Amino acid sequence: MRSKMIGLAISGAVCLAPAFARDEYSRNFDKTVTLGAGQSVRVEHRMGSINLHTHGSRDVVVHASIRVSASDAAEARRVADAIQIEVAPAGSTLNIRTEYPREEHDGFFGFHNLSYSVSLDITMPETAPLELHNTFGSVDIAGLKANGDITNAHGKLTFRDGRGVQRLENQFAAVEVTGNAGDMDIRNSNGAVDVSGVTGLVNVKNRFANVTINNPGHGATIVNGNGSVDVTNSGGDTRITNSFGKVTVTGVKGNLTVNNGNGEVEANNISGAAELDTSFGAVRFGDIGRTLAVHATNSPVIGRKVGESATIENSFGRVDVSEIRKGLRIVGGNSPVTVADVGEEASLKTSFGLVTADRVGGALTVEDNNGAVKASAVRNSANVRTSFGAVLLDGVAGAVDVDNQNGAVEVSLDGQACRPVGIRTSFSTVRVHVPDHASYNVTAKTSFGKIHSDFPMTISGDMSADSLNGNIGSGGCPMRLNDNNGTIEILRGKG
Amino acid sequence: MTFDCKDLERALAVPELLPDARKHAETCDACRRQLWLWGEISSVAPGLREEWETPDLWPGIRRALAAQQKADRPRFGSRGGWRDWRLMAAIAALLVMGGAASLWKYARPAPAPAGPQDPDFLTEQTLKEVEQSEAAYRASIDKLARLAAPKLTAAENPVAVAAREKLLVLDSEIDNMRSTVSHNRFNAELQTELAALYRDKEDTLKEIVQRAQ
Repeated sequence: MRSKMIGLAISGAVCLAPAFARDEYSRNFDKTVTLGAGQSVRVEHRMGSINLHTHGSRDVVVHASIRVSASDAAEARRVADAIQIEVAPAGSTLNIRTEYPREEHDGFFGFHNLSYSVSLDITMPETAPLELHNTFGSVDIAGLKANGDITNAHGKLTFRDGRGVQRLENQFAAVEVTGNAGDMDIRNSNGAVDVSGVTGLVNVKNRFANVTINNPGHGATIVNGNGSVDVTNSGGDTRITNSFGKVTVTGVKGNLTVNNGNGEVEANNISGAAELDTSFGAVRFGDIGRTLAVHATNSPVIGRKVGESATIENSFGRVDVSEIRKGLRIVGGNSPVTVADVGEEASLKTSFGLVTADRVGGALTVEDNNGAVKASAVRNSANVRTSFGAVLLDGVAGAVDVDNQNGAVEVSLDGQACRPVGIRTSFSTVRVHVPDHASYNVTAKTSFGKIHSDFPMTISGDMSADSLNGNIGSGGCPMRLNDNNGTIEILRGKG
Repeated sequence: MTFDCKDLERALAVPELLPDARKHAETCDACRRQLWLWGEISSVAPGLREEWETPDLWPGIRRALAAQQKADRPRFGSRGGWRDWRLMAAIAALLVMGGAASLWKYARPAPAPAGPQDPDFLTEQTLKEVEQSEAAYRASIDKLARLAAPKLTAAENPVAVAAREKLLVLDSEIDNMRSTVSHNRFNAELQTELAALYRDKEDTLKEIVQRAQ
């Protein structure tokens, strides 16, 4: 049905075409001017594209294609002839300006019944500075080996193979840069920015569109909003501020700072420190050379390999990290926390989630609420606080201190050396696995439960089913077990 | 992140890592077998599951989480709700707008039109069709914008603020562009730019409505 209607519309258009016939006229403008020493080039244009390239000579070659559409040929020609291309020196600058007749602004020409466009093709000395302004047309610049200041709107801005400090600005259209030996400052809004091969520092400010930067030689600073940011192989410190879009960074020789909001963050292969902030989006990382700091809300945090210490603050999202060479501090909430292969001390805090810690090189401190705690191969002391969840500690090579409520506690002590033990819980079992030949001074007390020991004990004082004070082996090392409404078991463990 | 065999165990516990594990398993026989075994166990495991009643636990947690998230999360339209007649009207307007947009897309020239005429300019007939379609498209967008406005202006969260700002910028630019086009109506490039601005506004309004849903 729709195709029939479109067919009818096209047929109607063909039948009516003679009644709406229009004429077009086009003419060319060509001028060559030799640029004086030290002179720069300034271009001011609108309603058409600019194609600018460079060469080794001092000549500026200007070619313009002027096109007009009007109700008859004479009118089209009259207007085309009235459009002027000015190429004139003014002090230290050569001005190239497109001038449209004044009447266009008040609709004098046939009640707005005409249209026009001018495309410019300019060849200029490669070492002359350039200032260019355009609107309503694309701009393509290639081979500029001097500083440039380029402003465009409503047309794609392309810059290639340049050298020098460049400032590019656009609106409502893309900016694409491939190659510049020098710094690059780019402003855009409502248009994508795509940059590659800039040897200097890249500075980008954008809104409502995506930013992609590859190989910025001296790093990058990006402020974006409502779009994604993607940076690859940055040669220096990189700072990114964004919102409502994903930030992806792969390869930074330096430090990385990401401040995102309502978007994911992914950072890999960062040689320096990384600071990653976001909300309502996952944080993923890998191979951070120095310290890592993550501040996130409502976001899972997942990653591995940090060269120094790591600090992660989060809420409402799981944390799963491994291979932290130095210390690790996690403050989470309402989510599980999983860590493995931490080189030094680990401090883990969360609530309503399981805490799992494997292979911790220093002391382990866990503060949980309404969640179980499971830890193994801890090379120093373990200090655990939780409630409404079991605590399972296997292979702790230091003092053990567990404060639980309404949850079982099971601890396997590692080696025969003294590991002071303090365990408190209620409404569940306390189970301690003690290596053969280890010696402890045991104080155990419970209510509404029993005390059991695999080891022969030398009892001192009164003994009952729910309270005892005595020695395993030669005693000495303190073991204090307190339960409420639960059984206490002292079992033989690994030697 | 770079995935290797020792990450497999963690990946089985962390759903976010499973795609990485599967990708790694494509080139690693040992991990592929582990993943296959895990799949087999997972298929048997549900039959072994035991359940018991904890009637008060989850409702309590859910209430706490809901209260926390409501306090923290900037969610457009969270006050008052969108499930009313205006939402239905907005969806209807979107459908109408989609039709108008399709018509305009047919009527307006392609970015690089081919033909015997100079592709820089529209013909009289094409311009007429373009202007008619644009008017219908604009009316639909305006209707949707009016329906969305009360919720958009009431909300103070970052999403709504950003949407308001973007719409403000787009409206201003659409006005400028229409003024420019009025002096150069047959210029195909300008008409294409104007259409792009309308599409951007349409997409923004659609996003607002979707978020509100």
